[in-house]
Amino acid sequence: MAEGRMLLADADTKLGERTIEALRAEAGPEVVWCDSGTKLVSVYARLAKARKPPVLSVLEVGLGPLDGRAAAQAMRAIEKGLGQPPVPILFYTTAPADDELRGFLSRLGRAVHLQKAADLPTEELAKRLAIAVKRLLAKLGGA
Amino acid sequence: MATTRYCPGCGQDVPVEQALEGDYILTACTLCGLGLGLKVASAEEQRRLKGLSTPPPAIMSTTALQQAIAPGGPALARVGVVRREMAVPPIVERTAPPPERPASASTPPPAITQTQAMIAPLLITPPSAPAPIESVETLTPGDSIEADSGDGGVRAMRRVVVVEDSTFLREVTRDLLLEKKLAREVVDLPDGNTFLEDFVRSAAAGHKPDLVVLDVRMPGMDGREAALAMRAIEAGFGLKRTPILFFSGVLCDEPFKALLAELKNAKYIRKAEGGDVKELGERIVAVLERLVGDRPA
Repeated sequence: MAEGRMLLADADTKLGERTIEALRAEAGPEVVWCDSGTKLVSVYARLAKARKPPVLSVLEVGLGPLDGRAAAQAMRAIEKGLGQPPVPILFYTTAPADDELRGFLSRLGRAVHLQKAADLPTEELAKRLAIAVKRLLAKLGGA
Repeated sequence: MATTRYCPGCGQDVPVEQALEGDYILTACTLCGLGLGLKVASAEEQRRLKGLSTPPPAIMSTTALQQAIAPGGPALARVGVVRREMAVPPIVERTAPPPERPASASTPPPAITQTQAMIAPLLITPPSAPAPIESVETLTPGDSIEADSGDGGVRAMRRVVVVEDSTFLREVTRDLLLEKKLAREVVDLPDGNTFLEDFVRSAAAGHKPDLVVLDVRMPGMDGREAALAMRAIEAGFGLKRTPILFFSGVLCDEPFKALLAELKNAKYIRKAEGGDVKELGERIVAVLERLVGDRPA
């Protein structure tokens, strides 16, 4: 399991808490939860400036007031401005990825998409999200 | 009383609203919130804006007033109505020069702005009270009203960033800022992503811009998103807020007005529909006078 910090951005407090609990069940990265896109960018900027970027950023596309896409673009701008490598991003949405989203992810670089089932209870959703995060971190750690 | 006034931000006559800020009346555009005027409020105007309908209280005699507020001070040319229960120094008019600002041991006093120069002759302060100029900053939170410099213009900013996807408007704005000596350096960028990258780079190097001019509608990251992200980066880096001037092709609506308030210090200017560069330039200068008054020298 990867060490370091992971940013999790979702306006749904309950989902955020459950996901953090699920990730804490095993030794993993410290999870910093952000309830908005602006909070995510702010935290990311602080970590990047301190040269301690997170190992992964997980964000819901439908954030506010800065949505997930804009927040991700801001993260990439911070990295370029500071001359740092891009941090992997995991996007999740209730809608399937269309060509437009795939194109966006491709331009963003080091970004993947996860579709979440809208009809699942929060606890189940959090477990699945935690599993996806662990798999991604394991893959990144082995890369 | 409903009235209209020309707003340089919106570029047209607009309904205005008045609000009481201490002893002053701030007149502002109801559309974009730009401050359009500041004046000393009379007792009657204070009652009206506070929603009071009670008649004015007893009137203090001019002799008693002089003794009470300016012992040994300059003679009053004319004294207005003063309410006894007012906790703040009463507002009077006089012909003597404005009171001097207390000298600071470490920093020289800032130049008196046009607004301050307008207000200062109307104020008399007891010797022990703070100088009235000190309170001007608090009159219009987030809406600095200042036009500093000896020639009545705005002091030149060190670095201004113009983010606009129209090459023509970007270059016109850049030339205008330089021609009118509003900025010493202008960096023009075509989109929000490039801007944020430049902002982070310059902020990390310790020379972030004094002003950011942002087009609202741009491909990729638009002006709203870029501004919100910039504020988040400033918070993350622990930096002071950079003033923002938005360029927009449409009139300021309620959601945008709320965004301006959230992004404070931020103002808005509507692009000239007919591409009238001279008119746009005049409005940019007028709005800048209200926007960047609190920037560093």
